[in-house]
Amino acid sequence: MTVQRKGKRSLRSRASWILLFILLLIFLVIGVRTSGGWLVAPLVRLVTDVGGAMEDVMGVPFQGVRSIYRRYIDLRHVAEENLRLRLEVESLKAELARFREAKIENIRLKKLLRLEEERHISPLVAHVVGADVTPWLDSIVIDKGRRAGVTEGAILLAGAGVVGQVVESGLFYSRAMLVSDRNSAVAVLVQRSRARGILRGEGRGLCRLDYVAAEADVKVGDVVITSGLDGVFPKGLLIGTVVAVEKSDSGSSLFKRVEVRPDTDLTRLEEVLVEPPGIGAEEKRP
Amino acid sequence: MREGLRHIGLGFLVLCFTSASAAAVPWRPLALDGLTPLVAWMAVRTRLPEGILPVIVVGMVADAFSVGGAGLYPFALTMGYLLGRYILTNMACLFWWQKALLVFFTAGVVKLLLFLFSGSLELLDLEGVVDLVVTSLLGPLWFRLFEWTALREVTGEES
Repeated sequence: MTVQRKGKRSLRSRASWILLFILLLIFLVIGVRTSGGWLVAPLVRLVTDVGGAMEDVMGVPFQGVRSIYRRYIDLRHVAEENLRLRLEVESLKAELARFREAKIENIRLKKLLRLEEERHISPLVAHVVGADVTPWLDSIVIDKGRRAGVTEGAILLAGAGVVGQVVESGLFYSRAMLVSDRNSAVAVLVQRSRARGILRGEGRGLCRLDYVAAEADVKVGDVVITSGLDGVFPKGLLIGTVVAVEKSDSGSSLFKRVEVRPDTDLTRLEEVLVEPPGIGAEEKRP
Repeated sequence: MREGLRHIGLGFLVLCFTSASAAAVPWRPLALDGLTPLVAWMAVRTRLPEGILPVIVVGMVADAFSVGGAGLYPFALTMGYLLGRYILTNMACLFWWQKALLVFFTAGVVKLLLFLFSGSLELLDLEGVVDLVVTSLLGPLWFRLFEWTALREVTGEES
């Protein structure tokens, strides 16, 4: 009887020690990881590089399946899309003529004011080879790294606008956080009314606009562009369109609740353009 | 030691596969999540305390595959592993439905902790539940794949 009790006690004591050891180990790992010291960053870059290469290879069959699926979807809507595009081309032609006039005027005025020449950027084309392993976080892996000149802070563009920013760059592959990620924040303004706000990711390819004053003029359908005030994204890049405007939940709130749908479908990115970092800071220079 | 290294290597491959599949599917819950079945399988294969180190290392590698909070994966995967070990001290895991249930509970704990500590608990709605169900239903298939790799290792040693 006494031997049995002693056995149980020693088993409990062993289990307690193991649990204590595990907890200490986890805290140690979290501490080392969050400190982001000299040892962690190169290891993370190595994992990004080797993992990116593996994802590139493993993604080949998935890309085949994806292209078949896309073609099927495209075929289903091709007739109505054709009609819609024709109408859109007509209206865009008229708009283009107006923009040409505005551009000529802009160049003339810039020359008059002796402003700097428009910057010449040659963005890189990168392919998306992987996504975040956490389903509700929006990050992607692209097949360009430091060797191609892609560094942390580089901006990702797709379609007509900005889609994200590089947060980790290895030698050959990089990881980028999309604007729809919950950790992302971009300084933006509403193009029509110039109302300012902070665009935050909501996950699943959607965004919301924070800190938009309750009296600000924001309507559904308004275009949202980068304001350049964050010093990261250059001014005037298209982000998306306002899809919902609501008063905040609390009656006394100073801000509106604005939902924004990015112009590019962030859940279906295949290629992106990568622009060097620091353009936003240049924009801010007087 | 050798088995631990093999588990870490397997974890890395599974993460690459999960990431590549996530980039291709139109709806994220349909992405093939092999990480939580791997943790459940590691709970079946290894015992405490020697089984915990590979789980933590796989968690550290998983951290590099995500922009989520640093250190979140080692914590969540370890808790999933401990729950798996606890369940396995009380039940056998022989049939496919038992394996699916084990993966369901392990994945449930791992995903709940990830949601909770990444500040995204409100996203644990229908999509989160679908993700959990799909992961647990595919769990036995992942188990078969992992067992096949383990078997290959054993037969390779024998020959």
